[in-house]
Amino acid sequence: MRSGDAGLSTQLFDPAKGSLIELRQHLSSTTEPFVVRDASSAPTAAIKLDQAFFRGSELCFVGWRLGHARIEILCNGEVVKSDLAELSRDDVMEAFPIESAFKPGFVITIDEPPVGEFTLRWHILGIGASNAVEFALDNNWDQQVDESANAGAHPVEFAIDCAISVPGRMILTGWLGDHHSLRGRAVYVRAGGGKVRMFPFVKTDANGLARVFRPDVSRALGAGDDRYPLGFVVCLDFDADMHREVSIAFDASMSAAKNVTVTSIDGDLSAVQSVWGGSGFALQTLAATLDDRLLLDMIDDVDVMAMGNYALESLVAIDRALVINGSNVLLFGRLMNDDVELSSLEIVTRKGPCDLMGNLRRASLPAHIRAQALRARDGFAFVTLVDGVMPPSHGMLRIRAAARDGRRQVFEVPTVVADWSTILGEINTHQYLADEAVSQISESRGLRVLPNFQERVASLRRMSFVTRQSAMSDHVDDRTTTIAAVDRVYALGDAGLLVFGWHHEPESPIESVSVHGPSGAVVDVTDALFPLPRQDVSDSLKSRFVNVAEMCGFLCHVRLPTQPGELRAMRLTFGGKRDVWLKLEQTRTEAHGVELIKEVLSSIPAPFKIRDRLFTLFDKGLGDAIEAMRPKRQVEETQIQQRQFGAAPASPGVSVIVPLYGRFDFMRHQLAHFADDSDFDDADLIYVVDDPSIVTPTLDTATAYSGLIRKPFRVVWYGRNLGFAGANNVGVRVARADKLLLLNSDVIPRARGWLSTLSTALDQLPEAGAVGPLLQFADDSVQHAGMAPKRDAYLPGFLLNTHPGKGQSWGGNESPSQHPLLTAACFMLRTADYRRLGGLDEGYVIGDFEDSDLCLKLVKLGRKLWLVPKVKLWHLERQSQNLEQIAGHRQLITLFNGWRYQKRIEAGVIADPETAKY
Amino acid sequence: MRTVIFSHGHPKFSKGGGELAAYHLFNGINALEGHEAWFVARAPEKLLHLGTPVAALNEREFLIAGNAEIPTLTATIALDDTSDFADLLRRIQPDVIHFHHYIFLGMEMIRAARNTCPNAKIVVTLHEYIAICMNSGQMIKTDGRLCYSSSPRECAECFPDRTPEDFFLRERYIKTYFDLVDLFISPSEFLRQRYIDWGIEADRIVMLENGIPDAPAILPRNAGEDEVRGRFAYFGQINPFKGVDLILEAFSKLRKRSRKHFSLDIYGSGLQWQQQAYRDRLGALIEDNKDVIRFHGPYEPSELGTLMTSIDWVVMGSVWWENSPLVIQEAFRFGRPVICPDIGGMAEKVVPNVGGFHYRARESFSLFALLEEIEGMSDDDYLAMLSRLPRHYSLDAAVEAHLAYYGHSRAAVEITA
Repeated sequence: MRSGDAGLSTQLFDPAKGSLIELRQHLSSTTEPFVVRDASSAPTAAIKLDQAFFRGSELCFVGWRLGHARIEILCNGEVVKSDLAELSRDDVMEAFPIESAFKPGFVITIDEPPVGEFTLRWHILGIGASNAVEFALDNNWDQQVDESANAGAHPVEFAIDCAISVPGRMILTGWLGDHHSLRGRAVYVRAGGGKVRMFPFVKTDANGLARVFRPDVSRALGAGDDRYPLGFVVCLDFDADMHREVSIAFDASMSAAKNVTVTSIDGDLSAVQSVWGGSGFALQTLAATLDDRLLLDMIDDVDVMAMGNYALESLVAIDRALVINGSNVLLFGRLMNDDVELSSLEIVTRKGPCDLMGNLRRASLPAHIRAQALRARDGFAFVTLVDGVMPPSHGMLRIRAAARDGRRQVFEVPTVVADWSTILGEINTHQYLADEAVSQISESRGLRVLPNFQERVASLRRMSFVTRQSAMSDHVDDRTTTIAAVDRVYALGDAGLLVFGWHHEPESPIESVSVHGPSGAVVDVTDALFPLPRQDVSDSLKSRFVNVAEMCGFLCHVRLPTQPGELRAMRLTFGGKRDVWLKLEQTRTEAHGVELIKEVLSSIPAPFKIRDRLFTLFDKGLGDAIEAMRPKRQVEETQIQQRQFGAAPASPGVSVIVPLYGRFDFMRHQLAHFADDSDFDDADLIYVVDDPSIVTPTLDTATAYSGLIRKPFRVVWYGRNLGFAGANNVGVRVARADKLLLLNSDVIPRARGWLSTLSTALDQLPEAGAVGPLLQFADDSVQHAGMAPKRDAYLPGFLLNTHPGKGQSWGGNESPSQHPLLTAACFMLRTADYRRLGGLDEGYVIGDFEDSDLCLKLVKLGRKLWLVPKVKLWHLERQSQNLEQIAGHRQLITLFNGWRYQKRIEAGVIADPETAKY
Repeated sequence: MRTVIFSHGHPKFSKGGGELAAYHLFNGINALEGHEAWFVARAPEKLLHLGTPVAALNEREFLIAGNAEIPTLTATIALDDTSDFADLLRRIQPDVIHFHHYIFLGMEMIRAARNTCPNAKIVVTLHEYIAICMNSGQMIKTDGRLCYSSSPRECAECFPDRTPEDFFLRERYIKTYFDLVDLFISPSEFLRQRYIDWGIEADRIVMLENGIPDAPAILPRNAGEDEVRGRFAYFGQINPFKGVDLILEAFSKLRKRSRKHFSLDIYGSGLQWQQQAYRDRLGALIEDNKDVIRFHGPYEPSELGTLMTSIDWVVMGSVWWENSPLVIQEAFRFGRPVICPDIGGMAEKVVPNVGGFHYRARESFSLFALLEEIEGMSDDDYLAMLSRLPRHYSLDAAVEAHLAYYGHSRAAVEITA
């Protein structure tokens, strides 16, 4: 109160007039108190409006008056129904020397006030019933409390037990030392550096003020009388949401203010819990009155907590709550028992409950964790990431869980502010949830804004995978899920992985199988497991499980690109049961190319037992895998070395290509037979050394025989093993003649002049694309007199070749005949055709079917294949195999080639020998 | 006519019958007017010079390197136009190149000879069955049984680590060289027939005995009246193929009362090369029958006449076919009958009751039974047999026959045969 302005603020009143004095001046918080004085200028009455505001549907006028008590509120001249509560105002009484029989403070409330111009009528008693002063009231209802106007309000002993912040409002519980003074008082609140706001302590629908018996307080105060409720619970129209602490006082000067920690909807409930015993019902009633959902839930939480989590069976446990980048929460938790069916799981936030069920990722708990949990039998672990959750400032998250059977649980978990390394640490701690956790992080919208997010996630994924994989085993023995092992794992680069293993499930079958990599790559291979016989496994498991099947082995081609050394793991799922992880440790091998193919094929146990499914085995991925394993390097022109023996013929008629592998001694046998045949005077005879280990002895042999046999020939080598097709293709690259004779090194001529006879036949036979001789075994029985396609009922799917008349004595016609296929053991064709067709296909491993393939390429060109039986040579064929006795890798390589052959026929790359006309 | 004879060894260093026959032939041709012969004998490395496979012993005799082994029969020396071998042939300028055996020398030498001397006649004398049989050319199975015919399959049965194709290739390889040979000479009809069975055309192979130099016959042993003609001797290599153990076994079976009527003298070398078990076995048999058997060790060919004066019979024990054993010719030359197994070249050369007696090959009991018969043989019967003994085939005749074949075309050979 500014003393200098006192004269201006005092209005003269002439009681003699005895009539209503209508003052057109405003009565408001900004105006000075209106003081009535007697003749001696001594004040006899005064009035002041401190505050006028809406609270909910109520219009409140707060102020004080001295001298005359009666006040009415009018709207448009009509008296409005109002409720007046009086408040003690010691400060006012001290300030003005006016005798008053009533408490000077007032709070006038008007429920659902009409619209119009409000005025305040103050009846000045003792002068005349009709004597009254009427003031205009501002329509500015939301005035601020004028501190200066309230200075000196008298303090009272009080305590605030707890201040609960709900959006837009604040609930206080506490007590006042003087129960008489409760009604009519006001509570003053200030938060942060803000202004003090006053709230009259009047019960309204909006504040739900309730008085609570507090015998504890009564006893403590020594009042000795606990019949009066000292405690209170009230809801103020004060938004404390942004504040940790508020100052509360019952005097306007805030001289006796007390600082109270604000409990937010998502905050630490310990303060609420502490008053629960005394004020719990009142709080519940208040919450019901206010019908605030969040508050109700919070009160309910306190109730559940107070009733005791410990008395109930726990539903869930949260092992770790990480707060990432301020507003993203990553939770690792466990369901405590497999019979729990959660109906809801949520985090309490200021904005309301945040559902965790929707984003929950489950994983089975590892055995050691299950062993720790007292009740958990088959409970699962879960992880969830929630974006946009502002964790409460007290560092605790409140979790609310409910089960379908009505059980509930509320508890708090401390949060940990996490950076990437913390996250990695937690993921490694909860390895069984690592995949789920990383995928949640990677999908999080909230975290995507972080710098280098993708790289971080990739590295997280990788590092967690590495840690997890190192702890995994390549075998598992758990009768509730599976007894399984991974025996061999081959990385095939872009072609993926080849996995050998076995498994047996005593209870229920595998639901799904997937293979995982550190970068998050996942491939479902549920349908890619190809059963293999594993009698060794079934025999050893039989004593434990009578139902174990012999076909418990498997081969799985995983189409997940995998370089050697890359980490991979296999996950088996079993519906509701735990997942099983198997480490896919790559088999150590020095082998590559054909050697690797041999090693892999040798790993297929008892292939004869799955003879009828071998084609499918190749089709299911093994074929593609071998395709990927086979060496594909090309021989560069500069790698080809050659040495000419004897004088090279000027214009050779035929280039004879003879690949050598291992048995270089065949060369001397052939040369001894070519020595007296003048056809070889001008033949371009080329020995192609397809075996680096025999280059030196081959050259030595060539040197020794060159001077002896006196026929020109070349030795070509390139330091590699390319197989039959590759060796021939290199030979043809250096060939000089217009015709080619592909010749096996174990073919020995019976007579001279055979080469020119074949050459003439190629020239003269109609549409001849290739000609071949009759080939005989050493005992003169037929080895080859043309070939024909043949299906074998024992090997469904494959198209094999048959040699009609093989092993019989040759009684056939000596005149040329056409055949669907000819062998390349001795096979003459035009160099131009060979080159145009790309030569022998090198995709066949080691060598089978590539000659048939070449024949069918010629047939596709419209050429005919002629057998010229007049020409006879011996062929010491030793590689012949009985495919019905599939024992070693060689037979399986042949079957791979057969599979490839069939696929090329199906794709139309080569002619179909079963339908082509010849 | 200029003839070069290749031999698988020089008698100076290796005293086998084959080497001797080749050397006799060389000397025999050389002794004739208008004929010149050269002798090229394979020798082990240590007898040769460094840096050349050829070493001249004198103007007509040479040593040559080579180590062609039975499985491959492949030459180990350079054979091209610039080789020392070609140079040697070009210096000799032979009309006839006679390979008296090809073992150690190598099949390829035949082609090299043909390359170097396209117009020379190439003659090959066959000794055992080395081209046909990889078991030392003996044509007995590796399990010891006699082998009557060869084929890749059967040969592979003898050598489990080899395939029929290996044997087929070996045969084909050898035949590509045999195709270059103008004439084969076989010292026995038995051996000739085996090579014909194997595939050599009959008109390309003639039977011609190796001749030996003439020498004066010696008198029958001066035996007392009623004395049993029970003095036997073995001459030759000591090894399991020769069946010396079989002979000793037969003599060990002699009854006590007969033993004073019999004696067996063993003359031969090679015992030291045999396996210990075989040596122990022979040693035990000799030790246990000291009263009958005497072991003398090696002898010189020149001693043979002297050594034969004190015996009545030459005994053979060979468990293989043999070809034309020199010892049979030697025995006939000195006038001693031969007791031998009833197989192969031996049976061919020794006609029962004419050249001696046969016993069942490989059976010591059969020889023992024969000995018991001989114990009962009268002196007159023995002397009558001596009068029926065939003459040996003289070196002069052999030389003459060889030269005739050298000079004739293949058609002419047929007529002569």
